[in-house]
Amino acid sequence: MKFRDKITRKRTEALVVLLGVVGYIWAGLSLPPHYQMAGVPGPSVFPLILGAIMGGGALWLLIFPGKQEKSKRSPSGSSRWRRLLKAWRSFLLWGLLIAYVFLLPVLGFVISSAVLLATFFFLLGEQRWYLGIPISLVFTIGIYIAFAKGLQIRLPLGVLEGIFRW
Amino acid sequence: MLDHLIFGFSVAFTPFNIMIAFVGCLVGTIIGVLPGLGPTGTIAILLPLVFSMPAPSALIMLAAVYYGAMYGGSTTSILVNIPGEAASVVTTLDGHMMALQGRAGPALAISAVGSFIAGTFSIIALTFIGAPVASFALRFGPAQFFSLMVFGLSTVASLTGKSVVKAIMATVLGLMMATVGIDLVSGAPRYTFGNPFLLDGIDFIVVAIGMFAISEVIVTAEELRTGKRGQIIKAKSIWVSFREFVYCIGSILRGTVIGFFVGVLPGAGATLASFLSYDIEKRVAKNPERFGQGEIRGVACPESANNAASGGALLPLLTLGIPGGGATAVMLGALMMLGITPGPLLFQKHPELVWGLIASMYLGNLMLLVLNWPLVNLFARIMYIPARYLMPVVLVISTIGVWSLSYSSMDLIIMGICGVVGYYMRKNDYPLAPVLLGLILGGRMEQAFRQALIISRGSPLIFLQKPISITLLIGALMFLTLPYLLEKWRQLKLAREGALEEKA
Repeated sequence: MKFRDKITRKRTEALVVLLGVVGYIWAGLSLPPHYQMAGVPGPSVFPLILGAIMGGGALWLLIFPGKQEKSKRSPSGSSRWRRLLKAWRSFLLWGLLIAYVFLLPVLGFVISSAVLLATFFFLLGEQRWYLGIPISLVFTIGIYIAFAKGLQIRLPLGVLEGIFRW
Repeated sequence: MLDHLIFGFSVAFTPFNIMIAFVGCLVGTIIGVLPGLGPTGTIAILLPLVFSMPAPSALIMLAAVYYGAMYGGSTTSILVNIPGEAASVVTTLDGHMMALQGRAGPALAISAVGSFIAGTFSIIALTFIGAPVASFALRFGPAQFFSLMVFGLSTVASLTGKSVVKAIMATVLGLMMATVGIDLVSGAPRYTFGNPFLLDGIDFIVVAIGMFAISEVIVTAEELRTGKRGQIIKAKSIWVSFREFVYCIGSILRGTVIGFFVGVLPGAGATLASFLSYDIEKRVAKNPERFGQGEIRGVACPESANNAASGGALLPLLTLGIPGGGATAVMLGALMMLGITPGPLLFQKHPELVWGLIASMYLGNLMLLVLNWPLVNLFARIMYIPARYLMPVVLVISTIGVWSLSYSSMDLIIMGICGVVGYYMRKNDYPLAPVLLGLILGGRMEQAFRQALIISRGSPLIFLQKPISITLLIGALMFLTLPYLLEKWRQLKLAREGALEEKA
């Protein structure tokens, strides 16, 4: 068996976990010494044990990765690109989600949620824009009123702050 | 003792209090159904209302809101696979499968009926065997307590998911997340990377919404596109049938007993009770393979257990002043507000409050059943909203739940990271439930571990010297290794039989 074939996805995963564990233990051990109490375990003992268990698990997966996965490597480069293009919806979903998480406090709840909802409706299969967009607006404003006015949760207005003062 | 209870009920069952209980339960259910807003959030929102009421009514309102919100949390577990609070994480396993099979109604109904039966029994148990059980629970020192948590986590790791190693890794991931923030024993800030938002640690809701809600939305999107997500079957019956009820009654009773006794242990609470009872239910079942595929017993048992645990948790609360979980912590706060300090003398000094509290929790429980009888029908219909609309809206509401915790963008970012990690784990057979359990128990587990070692001056032998502790640890080890060893043994036996046959 060639070395190249031994690098399965599971083994890569285990390696990534191991790296994370090393970082976790290192960060746990680098606490200032004045937090340690003489004679009794300090704040880095429990993380050390956790790291050891996690590392053991990762090593187990590294050594016994179980059944060999079928090679998903595509034969030629061009079809790989085609498949990537096909997965654009997934990328868009994730991209939107991450943008939403970061932009919600900046753009405000109403704008970011309306955009997120409308795009998600579309990506999840609603083809009729004349339904998707109004529904997203109705839901956003309904949710805003219910939570901000009804339950008194402070939702960021963001850029709308200057326009509506209510 | 019985006359005390009757006295408590006479305090609780006035028309005004019944109305208060009804309103509290209704509001609790409605807010609890919103993913991300669990009992704690709901009570925080409603607390200003409670201040203006007389003491017994305030307690009744809180109990009703709590029960309502708990039930609401189970409702989201069942309908959209997002646990509303920690104790209903395990309900997602079978509850959501049932909902996908068009049995959302029975799942919701059995959880209400189970909760009611468990609540009733736990109050009877509290009245009659409360005192001796409390004295046994007092023998649980830090060492025993740590071992109990190890035991709880091991049973969960051994029951969820396909690979025990992966389940252990998922559990440890949750425990690792629990180490973020200020260390409760020494005060050291750990894994905060200089960020003040991380000093408080990572909130359960943030991780639960990130891992469950985000991955659920993405997975739904994929299933909708590939056509894997079948049409949700229209339910034949909304309420649970008599036959199903009879089928479940054993599970409900087992859940009640386990829940009550786990709830009595200070600090263990409803979450551990629900996980443990599910595990035991799966082990005693004739057909354990049906668990996780939409088995109604898999809903009945943990839902009964977490309700019974709330009753059991009143014991350490009232006798020791230690809240066993979210519900009792709020009750403790309410008692403090009224100027009453829980402790061994409370039963003698303020019998009207103790038994009023017990009666009010019962009233809240009763209201839950009365109220949700008609509401089950309504909630079950949520399943018929097309997923392409339902899931994004759930995502937005969940995000508000996370945002409302501390209005910090850090929480949102952690939610996003948990979403990515949760999605990857889900796609690669890492179970998600143990992560949440680890996160919830992690802080208390480490505290117990460190306290035990302080008592023993650093010698880890303390965990092996206490009989309760070592029994639990051996049990934990057995749960983790037995399935693996049994499988190996079975393979060996099959291979030997195969060889014999070939010879013949």
